[in-house]
Amino acid sequence: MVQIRRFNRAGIERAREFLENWRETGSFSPVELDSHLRDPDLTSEFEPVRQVERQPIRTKRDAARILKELFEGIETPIADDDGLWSWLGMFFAPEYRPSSRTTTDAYIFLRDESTTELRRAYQRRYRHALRASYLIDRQHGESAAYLLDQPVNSFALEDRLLSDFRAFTSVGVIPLAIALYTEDGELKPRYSSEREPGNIRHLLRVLIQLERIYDVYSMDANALIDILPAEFDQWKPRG
Amino acid sequence: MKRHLNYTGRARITRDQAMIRIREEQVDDRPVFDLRLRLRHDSGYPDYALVRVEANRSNAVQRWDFGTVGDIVEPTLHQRRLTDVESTSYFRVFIVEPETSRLLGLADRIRPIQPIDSLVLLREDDGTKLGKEVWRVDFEEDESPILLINSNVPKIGDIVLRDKVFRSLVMPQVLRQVLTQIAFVDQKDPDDNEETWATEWFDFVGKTLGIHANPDMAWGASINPEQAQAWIDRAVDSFSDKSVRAVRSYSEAVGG
Repeated sequence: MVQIRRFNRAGIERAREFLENWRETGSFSPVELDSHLRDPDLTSEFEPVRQVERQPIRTKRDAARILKELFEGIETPIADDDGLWSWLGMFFAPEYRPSSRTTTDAYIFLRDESTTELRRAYQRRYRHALRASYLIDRQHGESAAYLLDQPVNSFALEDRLLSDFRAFTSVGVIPLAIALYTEDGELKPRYSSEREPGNIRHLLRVLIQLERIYDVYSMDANALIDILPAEFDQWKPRG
Repeated sequence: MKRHLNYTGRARITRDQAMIRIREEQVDDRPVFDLRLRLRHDSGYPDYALVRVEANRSNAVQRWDFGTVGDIVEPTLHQRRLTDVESTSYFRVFIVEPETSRLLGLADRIRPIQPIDSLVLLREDDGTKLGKEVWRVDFEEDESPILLINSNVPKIGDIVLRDKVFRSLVMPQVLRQVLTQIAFVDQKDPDDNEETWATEWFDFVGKTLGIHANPDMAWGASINPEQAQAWIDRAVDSFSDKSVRAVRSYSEAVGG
């Protein structure tokens, strides 16, 4: 068991470099990684004190289960704690390894917007794999079972939903999107194609319009389906 | 073809009708808000309409139910803690028809009144105005002063409200700048009948801090600079002592 820590700014920068090298070479030094995670110049203790152990993480549900237990009873806002999420991302990185196909966003959570590159990374902060898993489970639980059962690092339907925090935090929008755009546990073809009327991007735009008339974000998926315009009829579940 | 929804059918709730204030005292180490809702009697909302409050900021949101228009049920202090959002979040207050979920009334982007000293408005700035400064008191023409804080500093909203070092060093200087603006730049007069943003600051210094200017002191264009400066110094001294306990807090923070 290891005590959870938080990276400081230098720690986050070092972690990014470490991950970039890992992505390029396809290998890493576990000793060096553990040294970064414990380095008092790069990290500080997280309060309240919590112990964590590396465990296999395959799906978002796996990650959510570990994190829910870890953060139980903590009432301070942790969702935007860049030092904490970056440290956890690095700690669990050996379980969902970076590759040439992944970006550092899945591991490092940035709040620094001082350069164009960092600002872009900040705009993609919702793609932190552990944080996303934790938030999906905390906010929606089993009504987002489809998302929780996806690989921890996958961002398909999630990409649109997590990037729009109002949609994400609403009661019914995630179950609605799952109902509209998945069938038999698979994403429907062209669900995000802008050429397809009623696609998911269209949905998020329509919800913003509907928010001027309805308390959209407290409505459940069934109530939302009833107020969607006709363009969405082709996506509605049959029967 | 694009669909335009241009009819909402809802009423606007003004800021005066829905005021959010962050309490001076935290509960279990988290800020707590109060809602003061004063709907007009002729607003026409049915008694059964739901009253809801939402706070949102960045990538976080928190919501509360406040009962109905006819029977406001305030969540407990513990429930009104801001656990998912920071106290500098914007708030929305809305009235909802429960059957259809239609919005009957909405007050959007309500900036809560902060306890600091509850008079200076707090506003985060991404560097557009502040550049590389961490904070600055901004005086817009004849409006309440605003404490601009640099949002590039992580958790700056909470730092301003909770960090003893920041508060002990900065807040007395905020008060000094505001009173200097009142006395020397805008040349306000506490005896003016017309209420301005300075009125509540005069009240704050007099009633909260217990500092009163020399009754014979001249204000306005013919202000007595020495007496005015003495009034400011005594007010800042009292504020440092009673409100932020500046010397003690700073000493503790630096390990003295």
